[in-house]
Amino acid sequence: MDISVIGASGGCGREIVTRLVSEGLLGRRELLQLVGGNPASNRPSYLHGMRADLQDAYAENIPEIDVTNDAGDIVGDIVVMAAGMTLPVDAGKAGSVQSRDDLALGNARLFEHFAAAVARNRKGNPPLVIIVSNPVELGVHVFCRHLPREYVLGMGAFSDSQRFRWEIASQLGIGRQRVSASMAGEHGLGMVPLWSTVRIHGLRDEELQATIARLRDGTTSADFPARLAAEHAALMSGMMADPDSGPVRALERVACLPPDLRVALKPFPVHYSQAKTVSATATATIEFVKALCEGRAVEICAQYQHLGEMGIYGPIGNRLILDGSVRRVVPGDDLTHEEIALLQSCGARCLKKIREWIRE
Amino acid sequence: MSDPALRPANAFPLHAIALGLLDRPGAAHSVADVFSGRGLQMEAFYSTADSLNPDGHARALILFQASPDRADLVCRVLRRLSCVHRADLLSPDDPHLVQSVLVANTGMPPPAGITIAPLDGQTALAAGSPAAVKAWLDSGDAPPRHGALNLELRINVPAA
Repeated sequence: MDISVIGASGGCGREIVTRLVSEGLLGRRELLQLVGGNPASNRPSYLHGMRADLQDAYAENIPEIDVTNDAGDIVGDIVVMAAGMTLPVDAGKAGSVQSRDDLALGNARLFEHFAAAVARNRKGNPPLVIIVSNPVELGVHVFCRHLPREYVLGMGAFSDSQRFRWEIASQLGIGRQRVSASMAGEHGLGMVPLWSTVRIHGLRDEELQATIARLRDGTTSADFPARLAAEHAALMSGMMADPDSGPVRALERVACLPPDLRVALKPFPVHYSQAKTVSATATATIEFVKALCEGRAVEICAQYQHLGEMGIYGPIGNRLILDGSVRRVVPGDDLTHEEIALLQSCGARCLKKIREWIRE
Repeated sequence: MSDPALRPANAFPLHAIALGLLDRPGAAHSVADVFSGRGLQMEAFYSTADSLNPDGHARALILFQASPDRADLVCRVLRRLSCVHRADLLSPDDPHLVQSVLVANTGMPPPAGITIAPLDGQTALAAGSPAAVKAWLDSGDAPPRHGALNLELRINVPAA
């Protein structure tokens, strides 16, 4: 399996590349392609230096590493799209650029550039494209204009689901591997917690339902969007008022919220603490790639361009069955009507927003 | 490179790739992995490392069957390998490719596209494009073979 990482010199791209190499996911004869995400970069030699550094560090078992700044050279079986702008980490300026929406205009052209280049050379053999850059839904939508939708996935919902599992597990004092759960919808403030999918290893039906009720603390799926919006507003105003210690206080505030709200809100203070969410995103990406390399059908939660599945239209996160590419969306038989309605409205809202951004 | 009779028929067209390779250990291994990792078989692999190559690189010629899309991808992947100086995907009809084979010197005239040069009373050297040679050998009209197929890429040939 050959892997191309677009934006390999960025914070997240570099972490993904390092993890791919250090964890030995690729064999000695497989190709890891480091693709510059910015043709006008002021660090044109960076990726060459990074390759040499990786070769020095992991010489025992290192794949063939290729460096290119030409999108037309992309040859990976898996293409990780990690290039593009990110939100500034200065909490004091968070008010001016405080949502992923603001990234859209900046990154839309980049998505278009790479999607067109990949499609131009790979019509007959499309790679599986994993969108890491934000807004992830926009990336999925733009790439799907050039490639078959079965080959384009967004990392956001996969990463959110990993966080959802962790938040539940940590509150129960158990390991994440004992919890399965999916966080669907739009990455960021439009996510939809699928509590119906929560399973905790070792708990029977009644115990499971009682545990989930305790975790949810009287909240419902229908009121989740309003609670999230209100908590987000409070969190952001606190951090903007005190950029130095605001993120720490915000983390303390978030820790007192139910798990689903923690998933959606915790990345904000983590980002504005200047630590950013690089490790979690890179780890989730590596787990995602491992799932793809499994070679058997696996269920994951990721952004996918829906065309009416479960009544959903738009590139939002949902549960999918993968076997090299997307085989199908998992039917929502086990979800509540509230959850399905939230996904449908999330898809419609997301699609409307994207069409405004790219004037489609 | 096994006996074709033992393999299922491959409906995909024949392609040739001409490689400029760095003359170093592991280069052929890296190239071979690009094919085997995609379930493709190299029908033939010819390589030279002599001074004929004007760019100073070893040359390898590979024949394989694949869909046109896959053949293009293989060539593009090969170009990204550090041991590959250049990679060109060629049609088996390409006039720069010359396939040759030793056959029995029967004196029968060859079909169009095949040239025969007698070496002695028993053996002749037949040559042509890979597509023409394959079609001739598969037709049943060719004389008995006296040797294996060989492939070369014509270089430094002035324009006619």
